[in-house]
Amino acid sequence: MDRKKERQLTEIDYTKYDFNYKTDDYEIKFDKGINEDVVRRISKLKNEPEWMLDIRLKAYKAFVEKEMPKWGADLSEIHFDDIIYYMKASQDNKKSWDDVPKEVKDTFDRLGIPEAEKKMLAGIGAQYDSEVMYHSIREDLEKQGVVFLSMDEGLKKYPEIVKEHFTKIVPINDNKFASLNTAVWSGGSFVYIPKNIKVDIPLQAYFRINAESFGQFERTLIIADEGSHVHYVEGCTAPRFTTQSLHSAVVEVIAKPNAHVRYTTIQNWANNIYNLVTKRAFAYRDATVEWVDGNLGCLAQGSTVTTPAGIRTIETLDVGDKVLSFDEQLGKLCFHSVVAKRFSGYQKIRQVSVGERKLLATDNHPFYSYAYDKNKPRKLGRYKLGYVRADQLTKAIIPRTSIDYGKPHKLEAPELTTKFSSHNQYKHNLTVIRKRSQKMTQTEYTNNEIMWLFGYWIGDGNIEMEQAKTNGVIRFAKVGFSTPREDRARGKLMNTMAALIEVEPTERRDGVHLAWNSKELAEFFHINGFNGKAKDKQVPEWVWSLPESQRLAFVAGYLDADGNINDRYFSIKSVNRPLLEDISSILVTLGITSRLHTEFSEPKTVTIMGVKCTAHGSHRLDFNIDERLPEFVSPALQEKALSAPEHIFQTKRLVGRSNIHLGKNVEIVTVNVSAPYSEPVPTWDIEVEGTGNFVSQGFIVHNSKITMKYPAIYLMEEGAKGEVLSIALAGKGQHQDAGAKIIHLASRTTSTITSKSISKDGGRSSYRGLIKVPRGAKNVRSSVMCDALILDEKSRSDTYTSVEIDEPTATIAHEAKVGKIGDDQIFYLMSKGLSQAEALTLIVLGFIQPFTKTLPLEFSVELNRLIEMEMENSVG
Amino acid sequence: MQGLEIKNLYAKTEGKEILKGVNLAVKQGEIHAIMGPNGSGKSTLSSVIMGSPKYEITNGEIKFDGKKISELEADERAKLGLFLSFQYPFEIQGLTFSKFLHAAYKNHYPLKPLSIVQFRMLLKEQGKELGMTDDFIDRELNVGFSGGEKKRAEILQMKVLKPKIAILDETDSGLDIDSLKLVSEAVNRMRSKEFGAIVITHYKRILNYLKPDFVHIMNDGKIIKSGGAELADQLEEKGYSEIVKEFGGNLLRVKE
Repeated sequence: MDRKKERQLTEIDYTKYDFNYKTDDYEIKFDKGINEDVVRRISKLKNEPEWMLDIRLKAYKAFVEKEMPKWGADLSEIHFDDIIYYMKASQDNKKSWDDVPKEVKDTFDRLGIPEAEKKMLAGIGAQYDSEVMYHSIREDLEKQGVVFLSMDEGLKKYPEIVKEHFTKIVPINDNKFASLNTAVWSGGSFVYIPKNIKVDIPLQAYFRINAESFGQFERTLIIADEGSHVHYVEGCTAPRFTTQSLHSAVVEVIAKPNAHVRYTTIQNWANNIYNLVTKRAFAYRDATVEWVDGNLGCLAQGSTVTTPAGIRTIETLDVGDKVLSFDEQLGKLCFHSVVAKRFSGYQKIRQVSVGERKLLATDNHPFYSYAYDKNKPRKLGRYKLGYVRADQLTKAIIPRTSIDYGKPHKLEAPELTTKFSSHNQYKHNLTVIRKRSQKMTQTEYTNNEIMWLFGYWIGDGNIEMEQAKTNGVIRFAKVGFSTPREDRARGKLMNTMAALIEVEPTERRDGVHLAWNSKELAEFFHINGFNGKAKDKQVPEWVWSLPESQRLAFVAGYLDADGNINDRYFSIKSVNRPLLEDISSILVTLGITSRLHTEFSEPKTVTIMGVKCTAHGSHRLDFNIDERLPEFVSPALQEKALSAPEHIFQTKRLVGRSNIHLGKNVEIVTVNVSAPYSEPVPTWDIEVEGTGNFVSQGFIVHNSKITMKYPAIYLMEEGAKGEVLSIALAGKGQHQDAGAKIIHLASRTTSTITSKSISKDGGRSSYRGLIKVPRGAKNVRSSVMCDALILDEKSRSDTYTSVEIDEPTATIAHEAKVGKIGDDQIFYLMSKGLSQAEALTLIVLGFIQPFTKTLPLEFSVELNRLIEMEMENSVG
Repeated sequence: MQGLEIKNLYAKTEGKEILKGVNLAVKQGEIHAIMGPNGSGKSTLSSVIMGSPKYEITNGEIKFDGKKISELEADERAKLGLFLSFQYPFEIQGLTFSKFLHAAYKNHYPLKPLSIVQFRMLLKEQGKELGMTDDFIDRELNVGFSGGEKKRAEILQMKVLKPKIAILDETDSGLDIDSLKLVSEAVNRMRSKEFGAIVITHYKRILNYLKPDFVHIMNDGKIIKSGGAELADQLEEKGYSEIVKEFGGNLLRVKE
């Protein structure tokens, strides 16, 4: 029975959230941009007390002064002035649903919010752009003193409480985005639960961004007084805009002694929303704080980056991996760690290219380049190095060299024995092992010479092998080269081969073909990936991961075989276009730009060395005569290269008409930027430590987007408890990355991190938990439980627990459970009449049930529905 | 022909041949018992009939109501009216018994829909006959069930899904006397012209209650002897080795 039907993925339908309404008749709509005046105006509109304005202004100052987190340069260059910081659809925060303006009501109707209320919630708040439009709380709770207001109203009604706690958990200058939020915050929730009051059903808040190019800066403060209980749920949605919007919230949670706070987030942000949320909780004596987080899927596709171990696509990277990056101060290439990785949604992209360096990037993706500001006084310098977004890019600064990453590759050694099985006249099985004589010098790792040889073979070499009748026995095998007697590289070939093997070559009568008869040699080439005919030869993958000199030697070998100096370029011709593409990609790793031309692609008759034959196409790869290459080529070609006019080696390193000279590691090139492609594609971003940039396909690009900030819990006093529950579903091409941070600042504090992840169709999920226990926090207990469900062989799940413990009395337990859905379980359900897809869905829903059961009904219904959609058709 | 018809069935798993030419015909209204030593292929036979992907049919065919079903997926076989009560039912975390069975029921009887409330009432009612408490239906499927509970849960599924032919794979093992009686009574209540069963067992005990019409003895992947209820008595008296020696050559002892 064939069960390996192709599995396909249904994409979650975000169009459901796509509707939005015109903002023309908004009551208040600020102009784009931020300055002190904007901050003052927001405060004035809200009629705030002086001290709040002070906090805002301080925060604004901190925001301006605070260095942009390295990953945010893109935002700082392009977006902050392009965002509307405040807008309001109508006058007031309504108490009755009927009073809410129609557009706003429709929006929330479509999101099912009044229904939610019907399901008996303790209280509900709904924020539309900047302002909370609707707020209500159950009467009995209100009578008990429970406060659930918009932050603005909270400030009006309870200024002392707000003043006491506001910015105490997340300080004004915690990070640039927290500062920004503090300066321009609007909306959010203010929750106060009095002593010993237990609110047993959740309070809910919905945040909706309706307007484009808008920043939503809600501010939430939850204070759970001693012995109280509360569950707060936030749901966030936005339509998919063509421009970026910003969601930058700050959430401060204070759990006083014995209090219990649970905070749940369900995010359905479409993916072009920057989501920069700083969430932090302080838990005091014997208090408990729980963060519950549901992340649902995204898709991906990758550009390549260089790691010390070779080339990788961006979506396969892991936090902690090193990637090639450019140190702008030192003008050097270096390796830096990836600190975060994020899927950035489906976006329209353009191709940025110079020759065969091609990179697909979104309009706003920042490329290393320079800018010219004609309004600046000349003395201050009108040229400035920096990042320019792809759609405005004309010149790019690209690496023209490579850092010497990579390691020699361990070569496979040819089998020196021949083993074959047969049987004798008594039908006894017989295995004969025949030892071959060893003629090759053992070459365990690649070196420059052997790489030159492989390069030369890629161009002019071939392998012949003939099988004997007995299984597994080769009658003869040889490695040959088409190298006429007068060929410039023949000498180098003979020398290299002589060092490799004791066998003497035989020359074909025409003097063109040289062959070394050796099964050992042929096998050596074959098992190391050099095989095939001219039309289908390929470069084995490990070549990309070799040290610089070996990659150069490899290209040099190929140049010696099929290349020449053509005008001002090295030029290689081949019928095999994919092979030339491989070479151009290796050249990019060396910082060499190449251009690929197709001379003809239809078969035609050509004359090679006086013999007529059919050529199946001809392609030419041209690239600069880089000064590193001549060292490795044959003496004749070397001479030719070195006699090339001096200026050929020069590259453009002067910025415009300025006096900025770039270092020798980079050059300035004119790039082609295509029109945007019509179909959006999945995009990713990584955040790189230190430099904040990385080299992708030969371009220096900045991290463009932001990573999720993991929620944090600070356990402040004895007996406090922190809990984090997270769930992630990773489908085809996805890599879900979630995590949490718990800091034990007092003795006898406990924490639990539970992560549930589901991986299918080759998806991956990672979970990072950070537990910190400083010296003096005695008898801390923490447990990290990671439960992963893997639906097929291709998918995977990883958990990384980072534990920083300076206290010997701490007990940290870590349990990772990985469950694979066995065919048995699926068969069990199917045998009772469920289809395979239904069976998988039920198993997955069952797996996340501990998560969904903590949610209010309509959230869990929504979550289940999304998962069902993900699972549907995942079985063909 | 109506019912289940198995002809010269060969099946293997992981390169090992387990079924070596099984012939069996079970009509609705009949109860067949299959007995045999460990490793004789009884459980494999039930899995193969139900369409387990673990086994590959190398020869022969399975027909149900005259239709070849060897190529059908397990759920399609189930919807035709086949049912397998598992020897070791699998646990599914987080999936409640009622949710699971409701989903299965909907697939079996799309034209006779029951709301979840009606269905739960049906479950509770049917469960009582098997001595199951009401909270049972909200428990996670087979999770934390005792051996006996698992078997009773399988029988409850059968009662609700009302198959034409049910295969009870060692339903009696792990049941105490009382449970065995309850289960047997439940099966007996289902007995009608529309219901047939294959009862796979090692012991005669359950057959005392179920009173099979036919008894088959299986050894080394084949049915080596078929007869009436009296065959079970003979087997009980003489033991497998003797019976096997008598009808089918060597007794093959393989760990299951």
